[in-house]
Amino acid sequence: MRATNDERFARLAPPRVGPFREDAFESPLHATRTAAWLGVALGVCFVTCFLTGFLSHLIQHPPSWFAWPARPAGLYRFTQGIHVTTGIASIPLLLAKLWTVYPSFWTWPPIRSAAHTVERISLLPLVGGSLFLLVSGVASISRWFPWGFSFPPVHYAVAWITIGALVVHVGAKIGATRVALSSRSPDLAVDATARERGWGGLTRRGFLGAVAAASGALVVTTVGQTLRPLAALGVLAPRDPRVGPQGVPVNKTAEKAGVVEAATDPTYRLIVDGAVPTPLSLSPADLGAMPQRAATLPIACVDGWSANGMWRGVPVRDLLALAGAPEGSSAIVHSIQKASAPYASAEVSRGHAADPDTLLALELNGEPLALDHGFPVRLIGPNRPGVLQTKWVARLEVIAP
Amino acid sequence: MRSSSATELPPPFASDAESSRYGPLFWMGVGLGWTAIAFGVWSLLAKPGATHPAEAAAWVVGLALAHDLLLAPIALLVAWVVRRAAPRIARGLVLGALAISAFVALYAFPLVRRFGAQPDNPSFLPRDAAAGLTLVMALVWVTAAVMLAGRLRQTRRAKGRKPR
Repeated sequence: MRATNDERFARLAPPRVGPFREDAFESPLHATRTAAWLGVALGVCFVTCFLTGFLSHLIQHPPSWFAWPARPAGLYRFTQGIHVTTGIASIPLLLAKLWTVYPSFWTWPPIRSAAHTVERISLLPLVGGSLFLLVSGVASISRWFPWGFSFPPVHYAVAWITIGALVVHVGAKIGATRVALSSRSPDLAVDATARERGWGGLTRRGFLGAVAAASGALVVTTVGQTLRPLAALGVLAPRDPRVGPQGVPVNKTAEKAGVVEAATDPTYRLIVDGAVPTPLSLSPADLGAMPQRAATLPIACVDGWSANGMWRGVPVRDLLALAGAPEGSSAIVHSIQKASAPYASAEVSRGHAADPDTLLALELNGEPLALDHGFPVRLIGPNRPGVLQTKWVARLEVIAP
Repeated sequence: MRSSSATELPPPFASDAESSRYGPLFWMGVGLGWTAIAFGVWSLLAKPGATHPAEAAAWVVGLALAHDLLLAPIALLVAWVVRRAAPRIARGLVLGALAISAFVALYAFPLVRRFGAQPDNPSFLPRDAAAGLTLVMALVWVTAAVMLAGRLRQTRRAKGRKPR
């Protein structure tokens, strides 16, 4: 008779020492049922994170089939707040999940069949990818970049790798998860038997309670950076939505962008050109003499913080009309930053250009814009990521409809 | 009467063998999942100037190894020491409080060290994250202490009743 794979491996003198010993991991926390609960919670968080992250990617790099509306004005602040918050909440869930399934890392024989091999190989992109997404995400909102690559494209690519590996994992574990979460689960007796054996550590329930408490504590101490009523609780948030020049936080300062001189130059002019019959060249005083419009709109950063401001300036659509741009035009705003600088220009889609609250703002909260908020002129529009609210605008390039 | 098997822990992931048969659902997941993985790898390789594929891969693999060979063994060691050193009644609470403290500290690490702070941008990290972390830790350990006091009182009461 042919030997089974298990028998073949058994003959290979298995190293049943150290972590390979069958009884090496005695804690009841390594139960399948615990892994299943954590897996379900983590799956919900990761899918939410993936969808909101993919949405943010589409908004910043819109393919031809995608149009992001200007309304509701606070939608992006909401989806990106969810993205960052679920990511932060996932930290305890992921580490607890890895702890629970850790004995499987040392499973012997290491591979049992073709399917088992495929399943285990898919764990490297799953575990490494998940850890990378959370570590790089937290580092990024902490403005810490201990690597040479650009954060957004790598975070994006690894998100696809991780979500793919998660699909493989769910396919492999859905049966076991269903059994583990049912009343038939043999793990239901784990705590009781552990107690009988004199186990004096955490119970499964205590462990899940601690993980939930940690996730909850992280959410409560960070979500105030976008949820203003909870701002005072944000003791571990990188931002306070109430703190910054003119009461609004700043991401890139004028000094960092290298625009201090150009932005304060008295010969500064805003150019409106492109597909228009009458190109314009306007000084800040010219802009100030045009009919002004005020709008309360959030700055919603990809980093997960957001803050409302009362902005006042000239609607983009008035400038387009003044230059004679046809109905339905879109535009690209260019900053006075070097064109090679990240986010030195941004598209203003048809929908955003037509919205009366899409402004070239001159004032914030009743004062002329601070230099760090984009003096003398910045773009601010409803429902846009902060990186697309271009500061220090030099040129509005009109694109024909 | 209890059967003798009830006093033994079921081996970890006992239900794996019985229920995770690799059916068509598994292979569908493999097909779909590896398509997404391939797209992610392609995205990484398509813009090497921005993504530095080798460095990015080193981070992904390195973090998996750092967890499996460093972080997890350290956590095991700490748990092993606590289980032997702490009095029985406090073990679970100490381990739980340690776990929460570790999770929160890992998140807060780059904020506490202020790696991203810029002198010209005081709106980033307007608060002292070290103080925030201390506050959260204090709350966690005070809660654990209160829970321990509750447990001690309960056992004392139970003992007090016994002689009657």
